Amino acid sequence: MEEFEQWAHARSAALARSAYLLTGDVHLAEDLVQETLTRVAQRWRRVRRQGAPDAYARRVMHNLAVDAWRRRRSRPREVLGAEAPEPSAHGERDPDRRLVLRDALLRLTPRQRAVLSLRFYEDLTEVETAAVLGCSVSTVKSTAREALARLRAAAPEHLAAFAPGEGP
Amino acid sequence: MTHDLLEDLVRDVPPRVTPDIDLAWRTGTARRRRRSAVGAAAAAVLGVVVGLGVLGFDAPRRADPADGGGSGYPSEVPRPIALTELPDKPGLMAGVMELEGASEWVVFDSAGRSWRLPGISPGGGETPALSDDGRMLGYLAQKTDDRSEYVFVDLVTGARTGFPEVGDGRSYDDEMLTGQAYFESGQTPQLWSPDNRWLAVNGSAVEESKPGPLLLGVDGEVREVGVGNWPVGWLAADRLAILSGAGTLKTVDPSGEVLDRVDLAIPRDFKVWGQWSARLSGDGSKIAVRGDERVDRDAERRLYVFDTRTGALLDDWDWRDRLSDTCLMAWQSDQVLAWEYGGLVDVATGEVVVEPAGQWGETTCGMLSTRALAGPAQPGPGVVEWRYWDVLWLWRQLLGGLAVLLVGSVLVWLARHRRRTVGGAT
Repeated sequence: MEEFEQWAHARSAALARSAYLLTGDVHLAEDLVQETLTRVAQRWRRVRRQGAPDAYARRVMHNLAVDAWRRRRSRPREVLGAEAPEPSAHGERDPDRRLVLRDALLRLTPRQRAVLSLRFYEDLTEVETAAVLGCSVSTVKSTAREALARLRAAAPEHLAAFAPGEGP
Repeated sequence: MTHDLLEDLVRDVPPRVTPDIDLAWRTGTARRRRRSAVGAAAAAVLGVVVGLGVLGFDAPRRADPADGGGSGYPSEVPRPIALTELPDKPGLMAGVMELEGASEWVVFDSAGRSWRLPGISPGGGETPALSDDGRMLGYLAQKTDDRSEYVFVDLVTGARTGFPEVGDGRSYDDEMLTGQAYFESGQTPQLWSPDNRWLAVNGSAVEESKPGPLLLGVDGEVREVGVGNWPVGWLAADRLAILSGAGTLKTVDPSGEVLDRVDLAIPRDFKVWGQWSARLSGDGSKIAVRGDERVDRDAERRLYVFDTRTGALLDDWDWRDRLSDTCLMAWQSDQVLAWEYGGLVDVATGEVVVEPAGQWGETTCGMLSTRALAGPAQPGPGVVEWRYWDVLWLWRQLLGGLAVLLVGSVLVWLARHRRRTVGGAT
């Protein structure tokens, strides 16, 4: 329990950020993090023995996010909250661009968001991303390409920085 | 560049996302335990199934005509989950018993496996007759709503012998509408000869007013004995014993000729009560007679045992109140057994010999074959010789139970999933 607690405290912030990228909503992100931690706790002994709790948590979280989309086909559409994290007082950020980016992300499919998160936020390679999501590398490539294209199309003036071919 | 954009978007998220780590641990641990338990249970079931497959599963054993289908009698007759009808050729049976209020008779074998006797006439308190060796069954069968006729069933071959001329003797509007020549009285004991050639019942030709012993032959013959009072057993294949109310034991042959007559030494203060009051021992050397004190109220009842050759009193015991007085007694070696509500008991000691187990409700009468009672008590419940996979003779019930369990689990899972889904969407 103690080791899990230490690990969870250390990783909560990173998990929260990834969860927000995947859901676009802090409440849904919190649910996703909670479920991810529960799944990790469920297999904590094995995961700790293998020495890769971070990787396991990443895989669980991204697959949960994709599975949530699959489940949504047979359940009422979730109402994504319009709630975005309040910008901090750092003046150098562009609140408009953040809102546009968040809205554009919400227009992506969960799988596209998951690929985007893994490739361009977690900085995994295509092979590693494919391994996490349990799909082929070509699927990762095409999904990433489509995701970036949609982002650019959503707000070209703000998101032109999303260039194809970027990433490790 | 892309990373920076995304990092900028989520930079301020962590303070607003506050998972409950302790709850995550508790929930995760509980899930792990639950899955382990389910996995262990599934593995156990799989292990049993595979084990049975490897060790070899004997098909449900039925009484085998070749070896007698196992000997002895069941110390318990468990109620099966589903009481099915007696098959055509079940093999040798050990006994029958009556379910109170259900107008039903149940037939069971040495292992305590039981079946419902179909088609027995519901009126008149009919009693089926099981032969000494457990092979022949005779009873008044209901043919139509207002007609019944006697039938013999060979439980080994499945052969049936009908007696269309022998009915229940009931008249309708004071007229015998069934047109049958004989009637069987009902509420009377019926006794097979040792060779299964004859069944002695109480009845008569329809035009006669006073019933007496009537012999039904396995070849379909019907014969009136012509000697009154109650048959109590067979001394030999052609020697029927009949007891009068005064305590005289007559021996007659199937033609009705009286071959012997012995007066039993019944104490003066006691009388023989009726048709259920006596039973000859298996070897015919003794007879058990229930005597009722000749007083109007609070009459004492005793069970006497006499020597059939001399009529001398050999033994006597109290007849306890709970012992049925409308059910045929039985002999097990030198012990007299009688049905007490809830089982066949030794009259002398009160020890239960055969016990209906489970949700049978009250069982008002039961009779066992002489052959079964001569054998050993079989451990139960429900098996001839206890082997753990014998429980699979209830395979239909087991499969049904598993199916119900599976369907129930799926429904519970669906309900929980739906609740979770709806809850998550709102």
